[in-house]
Amino acid sequence: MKVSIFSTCVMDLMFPQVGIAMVEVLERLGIDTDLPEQQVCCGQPTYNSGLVKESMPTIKNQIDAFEHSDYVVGIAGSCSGMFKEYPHMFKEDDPYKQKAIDLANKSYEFTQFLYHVLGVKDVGATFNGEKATYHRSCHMTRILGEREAPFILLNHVEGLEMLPLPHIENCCGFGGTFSVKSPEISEMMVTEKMNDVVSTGAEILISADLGCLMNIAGKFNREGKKIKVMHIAEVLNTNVDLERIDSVTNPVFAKI
Amino acid sequence: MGLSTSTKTFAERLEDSKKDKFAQAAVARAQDTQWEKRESSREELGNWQEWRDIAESIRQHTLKHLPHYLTEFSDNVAARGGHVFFAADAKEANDYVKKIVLEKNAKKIVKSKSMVTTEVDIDPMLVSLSDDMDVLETDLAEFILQVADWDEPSHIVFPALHKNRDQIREIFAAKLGYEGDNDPVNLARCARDTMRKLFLKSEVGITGCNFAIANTGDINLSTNEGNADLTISIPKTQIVLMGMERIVPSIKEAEILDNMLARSAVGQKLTTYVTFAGQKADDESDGPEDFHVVILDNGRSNAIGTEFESILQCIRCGACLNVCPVYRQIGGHAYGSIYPGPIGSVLSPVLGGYEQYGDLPYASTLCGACTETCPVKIPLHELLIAHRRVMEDDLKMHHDGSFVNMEMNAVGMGTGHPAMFGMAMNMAHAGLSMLPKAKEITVEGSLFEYGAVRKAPALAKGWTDVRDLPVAPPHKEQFRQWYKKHKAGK
Amino acid sequence: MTGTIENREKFLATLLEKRGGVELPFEAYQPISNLPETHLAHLTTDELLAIARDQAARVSANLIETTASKMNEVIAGLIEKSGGEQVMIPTTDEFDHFGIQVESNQLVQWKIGAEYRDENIMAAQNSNVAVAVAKFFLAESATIAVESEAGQGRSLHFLPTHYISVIPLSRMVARSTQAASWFEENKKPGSTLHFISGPSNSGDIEMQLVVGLHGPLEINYVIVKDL
Repeated sequence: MKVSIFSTCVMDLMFPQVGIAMVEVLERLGIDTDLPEQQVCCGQPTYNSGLVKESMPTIKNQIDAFEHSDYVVGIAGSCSGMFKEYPHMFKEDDPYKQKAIDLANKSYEFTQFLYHVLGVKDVGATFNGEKATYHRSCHMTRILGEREAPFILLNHVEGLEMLPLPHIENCCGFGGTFSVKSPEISEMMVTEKMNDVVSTGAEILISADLGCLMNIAGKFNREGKKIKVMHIAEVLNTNVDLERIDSVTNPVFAKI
Repeated sequence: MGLSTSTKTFAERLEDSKKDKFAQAAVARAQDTQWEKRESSREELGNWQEWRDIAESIRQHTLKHLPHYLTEFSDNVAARGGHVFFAADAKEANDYVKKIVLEKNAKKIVKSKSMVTTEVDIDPMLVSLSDDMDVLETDLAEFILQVADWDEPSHIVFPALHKNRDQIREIFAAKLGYEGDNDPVNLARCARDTMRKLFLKSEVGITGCNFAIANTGDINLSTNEGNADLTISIPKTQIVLMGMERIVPSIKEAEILDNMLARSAVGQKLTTYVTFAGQKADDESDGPEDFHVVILDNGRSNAIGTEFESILQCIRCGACLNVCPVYRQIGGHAYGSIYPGPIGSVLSPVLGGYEQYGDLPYASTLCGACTETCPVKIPLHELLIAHRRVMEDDLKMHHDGSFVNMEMNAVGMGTGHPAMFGMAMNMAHAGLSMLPKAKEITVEGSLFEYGAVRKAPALAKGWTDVRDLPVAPPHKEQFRQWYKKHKAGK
Repeated sequence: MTGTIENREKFLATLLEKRGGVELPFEAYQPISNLPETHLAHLTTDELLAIARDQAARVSANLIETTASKMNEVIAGLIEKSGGEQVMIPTTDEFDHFGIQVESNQLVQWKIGAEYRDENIMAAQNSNVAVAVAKFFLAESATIAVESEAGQGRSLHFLPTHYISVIPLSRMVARSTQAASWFEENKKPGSTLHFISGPSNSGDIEMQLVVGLHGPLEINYVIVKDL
């Protein structure tokens, strides 16, 4: 099975460790990967700002970049969610319509792919009794519709105590360009999110979206508050106990 | 008041909202309480997604055949002796109501809660008709706002959310001579007694309309307090104001929507009083002898036949406000429209235009909570993007400032072209590493491995106004470089 | 008497124009699911009553189960508990039909006829208790469906402080769907139909539930199991 890594522009530019963790977890499960060079960005920043016409070259570029991939696995729930939206953006007679549908059908967010497609729950990650909480990003939950996979995978990490995050349903105030265009509102939102995280007593904050993590972590750092922040790929790649790894069941091809 | 509740800019209203800590806490508490009640009532019902599909199909059907149902409804009202007036805008609606009130020489008017009467700003018109005119808002929350010198509402379902019991006690003491404590039960009894006296003398009752029943000419009203029922029982004249879209074929569809409304608005199975009423019959002694329905367009038809048509599916449950993380922080007043929250951010520009309400579609993170909760399946967050697209692409308004916009265009260039993105990847580290840094990194993990920027210019300024920005790794340490080496090493 | 319709043509012309001048061919609404009809519809009377009991408590309604032979005693007891005083009853055959007799030395009856408007309204206002028969009882929401008509005006249901609804158990249905279907097929006798679920209430002050606002402060459901 071959997987094309959808690295996302934020990870590409800023957070190599997160991408490395994802690749290592996948390869440990016997998955072959590639990284299509042509990919750039899913187009959300401009599309969601209303610059729809201007976003179409970006979107078409992504569709072309993954045209020959079997599976496209993304490091961010939001960006994979954007791929799922692509088919609505083309008219019936547009040659990109079918290509967009194809891309949407073979796209998964990382934890989705592990749980729904590979059928694994335990990837061997091990901690030493740390307490953690999980921020459920909005686009992963609502656009992608994934509410299960990250929680199941985290529950199978040994030695990691997961604490429920109050107001888990609420956005952290990132919202892509919202965070720079409406800083006043964004600040109120991320402040409440930070306080909710603090209230759990967790030592580690985990999420499957880098945008949210950058936002919440940035606020923690600005306030001089201590916490460890990890992308879920990094968590799943921590102190891996090879004995414990679930074998990949026949690919489930689960309908998501 | 009308649609607009403020002459201040969005930024000024935001500043006001940030200062009102009580209102912020009240909204957050209201959201949390309603979350529990709403979700458990939906879960108890079961098959919620199928119920949503049914509700959506009813609303879409009636919108599709609006002229048919408006014709049928008005024919039926008239057949029972009632009068129907079609009003293109607020002025026509007000002029008609004014004519009726003057004809009746009425001085005692009772009103039950209605967003649309607020939208057309009927109260000041009524009050101006005579020096001794009594106009009474009978919904407890609106009564409180009225006694507080016509304060503006902050929520579709809970308009006085921003007032606490002590403030209400003070207002009642000053204006109504109330001498009791701040217990909501006692405050409510004071309101009941005050209003009951006025009800018994009332000459004209004004109501809104939750749903109009096309095949009977009935008006369907829902309240928990029973104020709408008194309003349609005691006065001899009733005037109904309804948005043109609030129509259903028959009681069978209304019943379904009433169930959806109650569960979505307040987490109840049904609202306490759900009433279907029209003009009284000849042998009946109470209820309106004179029954008038004003059907209002007031900008609603702007949505017909456009991608915004689905906003007219709205049944005014307020669930989207109750889940909105932005509304949670900024409260109802910040929107500057009587329709706040996600529904308001979509509807207000349709009714009132982009010049005045163009900021609102940007006041969202597009988190999708509104779309997910909407009982009639309005794709609210998609309509917010559509508004942005109309403003940016079609109208070239650049509502959020041309400076940021120019940069967004640059982002579009950078993300659309692999070669340009390659250049950006080369520059990111250099650009960010030159800026003022956070002295100490308190967040562990890989995010701030290369440091944190405390103050950035241009597009990133908004970011660093609030929080620190991670520094990008040098080009040779970026993911793509690692991946190349990793693959080569195999 | 026929009423009037003003400005309709112009108004509808605007709508038509927004649709590009083409009116869509009309077709009646076709339900896409029978969920409203089937939801809870398979339950037995006992099961529905159990739901209603639980739900009545949730809407702050007082639910009493009795039989035809004890019904009048129960009603008398409730009137006494409400503090007695003036009691209003409708003018309806249903009281005779079900053998309902209300004992009170201050009994007033809703008078039929438009000329009694003020008299009826003030009698309702001055009544401490109203007694009426429900047309339907909706188990799911613990709701009574009552009509306003010549013999029982709108004010009778709303102005008295306490309300006693006599509910023959045979009139219990699963939910509002069944009641709405009946009213759709059998035209309601009067101008108005009310679904009432418990006493009037409000959450407008700091979202704290206050029972009793404009309408009755208390509502009693007297379910008569053998009627």
